[in-house]
Amino acid sequence: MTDGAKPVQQAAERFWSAWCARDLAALTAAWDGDDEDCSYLSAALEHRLVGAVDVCSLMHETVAEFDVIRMQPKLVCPRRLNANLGSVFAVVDWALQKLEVSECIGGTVRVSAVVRRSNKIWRLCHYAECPVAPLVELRQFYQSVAADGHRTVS
Amino acid sequence: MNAIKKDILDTVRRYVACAETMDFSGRKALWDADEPMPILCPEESAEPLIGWQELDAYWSHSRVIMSDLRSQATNLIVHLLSDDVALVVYDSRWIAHMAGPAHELPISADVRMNALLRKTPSGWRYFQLVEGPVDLMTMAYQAARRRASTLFPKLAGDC
Repeated sequence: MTDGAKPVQQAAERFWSAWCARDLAALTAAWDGDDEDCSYLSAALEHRLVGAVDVCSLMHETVAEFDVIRMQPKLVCPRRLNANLGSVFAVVDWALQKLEVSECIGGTVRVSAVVRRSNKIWRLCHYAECPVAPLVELRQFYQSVAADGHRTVS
Repeated sequence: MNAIKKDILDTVRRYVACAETMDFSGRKALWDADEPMPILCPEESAEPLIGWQELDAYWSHSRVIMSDLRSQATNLIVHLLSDDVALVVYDSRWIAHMAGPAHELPISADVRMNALLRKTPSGWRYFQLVEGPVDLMTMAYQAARRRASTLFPKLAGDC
């Protein structure tokens, strides 16, 4: 961690905690709503979302759709870039669950984020979820199935 | 476009152009050499590359595993975050011939680039670059759309 990077890391951690709590107020507060160019790149969407309205819409839809949300960082590299600016690179495990179907889906994304301090509060202005290439993920899936070995025939 | 953004885009375009000759030394020269913890996260790398040793190893390996690489950047958007830091996001389509007889046909994909650059005495230089493809589920849907348009071009055109 670079000098002065702790509040930068905490800004990202507040966002992940807000996801886990499905707390829309906290999710919204994690973003710099005054930044017209704030952007969120979801791994599941083909286009970037730009502007607080679209970013908030995605968070609302996700919270409404899933009963359980987990965001668990396993590597966080925050940087303090200057007095009012920081960046975060992270690797985050995620899972989403709808209780009615009980199945859970999940994965891992690499995150590129930028946070800015305004009014003494550090908030996100850019967040990009970057999964590993689907070709690689598919190979990892095949390898995980192979690691299970053959099915037992009863 | 103001002169600062033009300078930033010039660095990015030079970086992308290095693909044509697989000039990975040229790419390295466009990173901030004074950055103690450069971070590069290529989509095909299972783990992020952190530190010069890992970046150098990746670029050396890339020269070996590909016989040809082309890259095109579109939709470049510069966000000047402060006087000396910029976020540049852009879309990139890469086309690669992998080395070896088993890889006769090229492969290609689109990836969303998230680049952070810093102003240095040498110009604007990268210190973090994270590549973001769509996830497996979304790409499966893209693949099915593409397949449908190939198998049933009229139907796809009517949709």
